[in-house]
Formats: sequence, C-alpha cells, structure tokens
Amino acid sequence: GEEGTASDEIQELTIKFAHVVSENTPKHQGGLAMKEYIEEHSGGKIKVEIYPNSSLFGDQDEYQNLVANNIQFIAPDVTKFVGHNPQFNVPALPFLFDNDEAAIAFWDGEKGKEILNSLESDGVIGLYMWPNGGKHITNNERPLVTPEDFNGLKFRTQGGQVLEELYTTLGAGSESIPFSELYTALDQGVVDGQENTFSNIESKKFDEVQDYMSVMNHTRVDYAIFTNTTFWNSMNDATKEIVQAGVEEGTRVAREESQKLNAAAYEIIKERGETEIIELTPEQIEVFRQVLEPIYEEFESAIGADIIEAARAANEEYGNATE
Amino acid sequence: MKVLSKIENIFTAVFLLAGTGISLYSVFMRYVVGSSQSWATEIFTMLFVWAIFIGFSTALRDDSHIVIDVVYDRVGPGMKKVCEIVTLIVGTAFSAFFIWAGMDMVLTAYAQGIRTIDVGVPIWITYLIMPIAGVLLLIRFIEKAYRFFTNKVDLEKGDEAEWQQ
Amino acid sequence: MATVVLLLLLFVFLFLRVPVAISLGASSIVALLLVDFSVNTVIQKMFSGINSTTLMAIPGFVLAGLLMAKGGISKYLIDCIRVWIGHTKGGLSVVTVVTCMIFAAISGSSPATAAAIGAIMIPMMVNAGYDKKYAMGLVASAGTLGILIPPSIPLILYGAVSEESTGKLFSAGILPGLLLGGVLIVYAIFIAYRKNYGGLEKVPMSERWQPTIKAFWGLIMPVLILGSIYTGVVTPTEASFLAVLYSIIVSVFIYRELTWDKFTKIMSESVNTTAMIFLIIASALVFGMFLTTEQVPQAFAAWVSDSEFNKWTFLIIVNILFFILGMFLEPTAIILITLPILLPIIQALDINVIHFAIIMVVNMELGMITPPVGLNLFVVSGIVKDKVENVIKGVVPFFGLFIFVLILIMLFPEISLFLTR
Ligand code: NA
Ligand code: NA
Repeated sequence: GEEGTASDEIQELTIKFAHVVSENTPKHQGGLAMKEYIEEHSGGKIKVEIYPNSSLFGDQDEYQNLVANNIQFIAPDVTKFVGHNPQFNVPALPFLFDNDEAAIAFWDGEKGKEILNSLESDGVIGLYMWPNGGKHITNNERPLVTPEDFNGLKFRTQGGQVLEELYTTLGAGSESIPFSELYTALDQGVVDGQENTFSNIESKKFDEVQDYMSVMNHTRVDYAIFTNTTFWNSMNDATKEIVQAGVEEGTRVAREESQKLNAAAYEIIKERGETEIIELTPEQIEVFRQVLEPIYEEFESAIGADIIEAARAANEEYGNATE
Repeated sequence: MKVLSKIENIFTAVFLLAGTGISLYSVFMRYVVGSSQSWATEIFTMLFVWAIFIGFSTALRDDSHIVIDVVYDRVGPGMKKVCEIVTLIVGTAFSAFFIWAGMDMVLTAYAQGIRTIDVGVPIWITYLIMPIAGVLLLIRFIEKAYRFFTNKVDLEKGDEAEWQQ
Repeated sequence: MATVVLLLLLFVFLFLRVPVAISLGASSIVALLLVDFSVNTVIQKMFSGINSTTLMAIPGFVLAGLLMAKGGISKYLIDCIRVWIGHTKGGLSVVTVVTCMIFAAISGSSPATAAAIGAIMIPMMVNAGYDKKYAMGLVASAGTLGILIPPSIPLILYGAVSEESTGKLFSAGILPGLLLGGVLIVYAIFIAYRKNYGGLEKVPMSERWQPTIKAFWGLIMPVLILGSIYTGVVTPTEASFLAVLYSIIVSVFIYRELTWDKFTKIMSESVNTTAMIFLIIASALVFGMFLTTEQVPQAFAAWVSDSEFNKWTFLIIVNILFFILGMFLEPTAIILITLPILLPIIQALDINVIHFAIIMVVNMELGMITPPVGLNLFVVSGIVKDKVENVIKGVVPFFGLFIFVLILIMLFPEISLFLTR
C-alpha cells in the first residue's frame, strides 16, 4: 500500500474465507480462531466472513475465485493441486511421514515452503499446512495385513495418479466415487474398501459398513491455507501484521484440533466395535514399505529427489524413530 | 443453419452415447472382469458436460428452454414485440458474456498449466466447451433476431405449450 | 440494494418471456457486477456445477424415459395392466394410476411419466365416457409420481446439494410414492362410483397371458434398475446408463419398434431436455452464489433461529414457501435456491435431512400441477391439444389429495425413513 502517512492505520476490510468441509472440523475451528483474532485485534475494522460446506465455492471453483480476489483465503486438500504442480503429491507418497509433527516440519521447512509458493505465478501464495491426519484402510473382504491381501480388491480413492499407482502396485483396483456416495457404495459393495482419516471414517460412519480397518497410516490428507497476491499486497504493514498473526493463530488451533479430533475419533470407532481393527506392527509396515518403494522411483522425477530427501529428513527428526 | 444443426446433433449424440458406453464398460470391467478403470468416471463425465454445453444452443433452437407465458399470453401484439426484443437483447448479452468469460477461463487455465487429476488432460481443453457454447448460443440468438426483423417469426406460435420430458 | 435490483430484473425478465435459465443467469451477473465481484469466474461456477458425476444420472434417466415411451415399452405395459384390471369399476382410471406408478419406477421425471402414459390413456378414457377434464387432471397428477417413486431427478439433485446418498434418498421415496399412488387409486374408484364410470369388457383369463408376456421386459425393468443399485452392482448414475442400454436392447431387438429415425429424434430431444435442466442448474448456482456473498441465506437463517420457531411452525412456513415458489419455478431451481439456506436450519431443528427431502419432493409434485407454471399441465395440454385452462380445472380437485398425503408424510417420518434403515 502507498497510503503514505496512513500506512500505520489499520485498513477497513472484509476478508472472505471459503472452504468445503463442515463446521465441526479442525479447518473450520482454525478459521474461527483466525476470525476472532483478526476482528479483535483490528478493533472490528477488519471483518472476516467464513463460508463452510462449499456454501460459496466448491472444490472445483474456489481456486480461480481466489485468483480473481473474490475470496481472500481458501484451505484445500493440497493434493487438489497435483494438476498444477505434481510436487503437491507429497501427502500421497506411501509411508513418508510417521505423524503430523513430521509432516508439519516438512511443510514449514524450506522445501515445503517452496512447494506452497509454487503457485505464485498464478497470484496465489500458500501460507501454512493445516493437517488432517494419516489415512487408514477399511474394507469388507478380509483383514489386510500383507500386500497379498490386497489382491483383486476394489478401493475408492479421492483420485490422483500416485494413489492409483499405489493400489495397482498392491494388485488392487481404484475408482473415484464422490464422497457423498461412498457410504452407500461401501454398504452395497460397489467397491470393497476405501482409505481415510480416523475423523472421516468416524463421522461418516464407514465402520458401520466395513468389517475391517487396517491402521496403516500409509498416506495423508493435508490442507494448506492459501491467499492471493492482489489482496496480500494491498495491505499496509499495520494491517498485514494483524492478518498474518491471525493466520498463525488459526494455524496453531487447526493443528492442535486435528490431532485431538483424530485421537477422539479412533476411540469412538473402537468403542462402537462395528469393525475389526488391525493395528499393523512395524515389521508388517516394513513389508508394505518395501513393496511400495517402486512408487518413489516412478514419481521421483516429477516430484523431485530433493523434495523426497527433505521429507525423509523431517521424518527422521520428528517421526516415530525419535521417540 | 441446417448444417450447423446436423453437426450439433451428431456431436451431442456421440458424446452422450460414448459417455454411456464408457461408463457401462467400466461397470462391466469392475463387476464382471474385476478390474477397476479409474479413468472412466472423469472421461464420461466430461463427455456428458460437453454434450450439455452444446445442448444449451440446440435447446434454444428447438424452443426447449422453459419460459413463463402468463403475461405474454395476455398482452397485445405490440407488447409481444417488446417481449421478443428484450429476450433477444438479454440472450445476446448472455451469450457474449459466455464467450468472454469462457475465453478468459480457457486462457487462465492454459497459463496456469493445470491438468485434470486422474487422466492428466490439460484442463483448458475441457474448458474450451465454454466459449464454444457461447458462440453457438450467440448464433442461435442472431438467427432469432434475423427472423424477427425480417418478420419470419410467427408471434402466435409462442403460445403453443412447449413441453419437455 | 443489489439484491433488490436482482429480484426486480429477474421478475421483469421472467414475465417478458426470457427463458427462465437465462433470466436467472443474466440478472445474477448484473447483480454481481454491482457488488464488484470479478464475474469472469462465474462461468467456471456454472461449469463445475454441471461437472458432477452424481448429476449425470439425469441425462441417463431422461434418455431411458424417452426410449421407453417411444420404443414400445410403455405401450405394452399399459396393455398388460389393462387386461388385468381394466374391467373393474373405473378400471381405466385405475390402470392410468398403476401404469404411472410403474413408469415412475423406471423414469426420473414427472413430465416424462405424464407424457408417456397420458398420450395413450387420456384418449382411451375419453372414448370410454370419462369427463375429459377429469382424465387430464388424473394423468397430470399421477404423472407427478415420476419424481417421488425412485429414480428421481430432484432427489438426485437434493443428494448432490445435501451430500446425502442418492441411494438412501431413493429408498425414502418408495413408500410415500406407494401411499400417494394408493390415495389416487382410491380417489379414482370413488369418482367412478359417483360418476358411474364403468369398466371395460372383462378379458377372459386365457387372453390375458399374451399381453403380460409381451410386457414382461418392461415389467421387470424397475426391479432390474433399482435392484442393480441396491445390490451394489452399480451407482445410481451407472444404473441410469444400464436403463438406457436395456431400453435400447428391448425396443430394438424384442419389440422392434425403434427405428433409426425415431432414435435420432429421441437423442436430440433428450439432449434438449437435459440441457434445459442443466442451464437452470448452472444459473441457479450463480443466483445462489450472489445471495450467499450478500449474506442473504445467513440473514434468513438468523431470522428463523431468532424467531425461535419450533419444528412445526418452521415446516408450515416452508410448505407455504414451496407452494408459492412451486407456482412459478421449476423443482430444479427451487431446490438449488432454497436448499442451501434451509439445510443448516433443518439440521438445527433436528429434522431428518432425508425426511425433509421427501417433504420437499411432494411439494415439488404439487408445484408441477399448480398454475401458472406447471410442467405437467403443459405436457398434458400439449399431448391432447386442449387448453391449459381446462387441464387446470381438471387438476384442482387433486390439490386436496396432495396436501392430505403431505400432512401424513410430515406427521409420520417413518413412512419416508422406514426403508432407509
Ligand atoms: Na421415478
Ligand atoms: Na406450478
């Protein structure tokens, strides 16, 4: 901003934050924390409106509306951007991160920032990763303990070439079925299984219609909060300081809530007892890791050896090995 | 115009039937052969979307878009003319908007280099249908305008109940 | 301010006979310009609203419906039902309702149902001495079952907006559909006694089997389509394509009534119908987007929660709203415009989202036969070449029946929910 003497005055603004998940999610809680912080610290000069549940824009159109500055923040699943930049495939790479901390450390690190900033030519900046958690596999046929158990099964994924390759490597098939149809599709056996975070499995009650759940933690769902350069550069220092701090507060809350929510969801699934839970041992995980290793070779050139290197380093430092 | 109609009809029919075929093929592969075709959903949905966008103009051509006749049926020929002119203006503006915004989306997506998630088709190619649909709509409105101003339009014809399935 | 301009423009356009979809789209774009929205993204909203695998069941069921209507399947269905129950008191009117119910179980649309059955049954009833207005009203009304008995285009759309499973919503429509069909049958018999409408000549048992066997392929179609969904062979969208394939096979190879000429006409008609529906969907999304950025739904939701309406007051208000909107708008547009506003409220009031879907669809059925804009009225008037006014006179007595069934469905959620469990 070139407001001259007024540049230390907080600007009057309305900030719109649109996302596609419901209100009882870490993402929405993070958004609320952000709203509260910014509105309070700006003395009400900055208003933050949150649009959950795709009520304003959905998965397919929020990006271009961010670019057009019709909204100022979105927080999509980063793998939605694999079509823009294949490096966003990181959360879909098998067994890359042991836990949220390792994934956060990667995305907060240099290489992670590089990926998040790779959309700058479109006028989009990625600020922070907001975790959703590790994914686990449910199915209706048999307990999945070894790679051979996957043979011939059909899984639903949210799409993407890495996940497709992952299931192909395990001798299984994958289909992308809309999330809203998934419960019925599982119930009626259109597909045999699916992969999701504990919180999604619990809230959508997939355990009711799936006999087995393997706690695999093989891939992840991670969101990131994005803003656009038009908006970001229009703020003067005083304003930007508050908004930046608000985003950080939202990030803190979203990260904290995500862990709490997944832990609670796992407990609920156990209590409901609808599905047989298989917790894989480190040795059993290792077998999968070996079998799925070729995926790294296949996607190394697209994603970048340095990226994978950095992710592994983050996992060395923050993953389970340190405990 | 007859040639254009033929082309539109062929394309929409081919897209619809091909989409139906691909989806049924994936059902067959999944259920009978036991092998999932993860590309099928994205492709057949895209084919249907293309058919539908072209359909906007064929529906206009065949008067299949729903209109509200309550006022129109009760006014004199002068007012009916006003109705026709307003429809032509609004429709032309709407088509022009379709072309402009559609082109803008195609160029943006092209510059951004986005691809679809499953099959990896550049997304600007799938978006091409937006300006194309705009051009087709515009052609139909221009045709209507031409008929109107050369008095080839039968105003009473509008009274006929048009019904859709 | 922009909202006022939007509504004003919308009504001016609508009443000047600009197509509904274009009226909605154009007035919303103008309103968005007024609030400094970058409208170049509007078209992407339209594209992504259409680009939904769930919604692709609509072209599937539209095409299948046309193939059945014109490829012999509906004709032989009617023949079959007629030989079995045509001789009873008011037999032809009962046949009309029953065939509408069967056709509804294969087709997702009400006008398609009314057209397919009405084209054959109305002339037959009139020839047998039925009052023409009554016959037209009966077909227009029974035809609306097309969207209640699954498959159903509005239920597919409702599922896409509310993220409820289409399969579950379909199950929820079955019993209410049977109930409404049953009420119509009882009413038809009652009218037959009062007006002394007779039955047809009784067909001897030995002559009933031939038409039944002929109709076999149509009769098993509902079982096949719904069965393939509920046994997990296919998703509802894929089921619609199975229905297309099945209708083509039956009408080409078994009935041999589908000529190439007929087929190309059916293709272009189904493209037009689908495009008409989807342009309304696309434009209604833009309309809804404008209202959302202007916080209109939020304000409405706040008003409802501040007024502390209980469930019943809310339902009564919503029913009145649907009735008024139903007079003017298409089910598609009504669902897309109102559902995003209503969903948070119905969840807050602890109303089951699937139960509400059925309440909404029965309201939409009523909307299809209320003037001035009622698709089924237009269809019936179109196929028998009679004035819309006469069809309206014919349907008015049925309004009470719909309201009666609506009340039952509201009072007893289990009618809708029993089969979803
Ligand atoms: Na139906
Ligand atoms: Na109506």
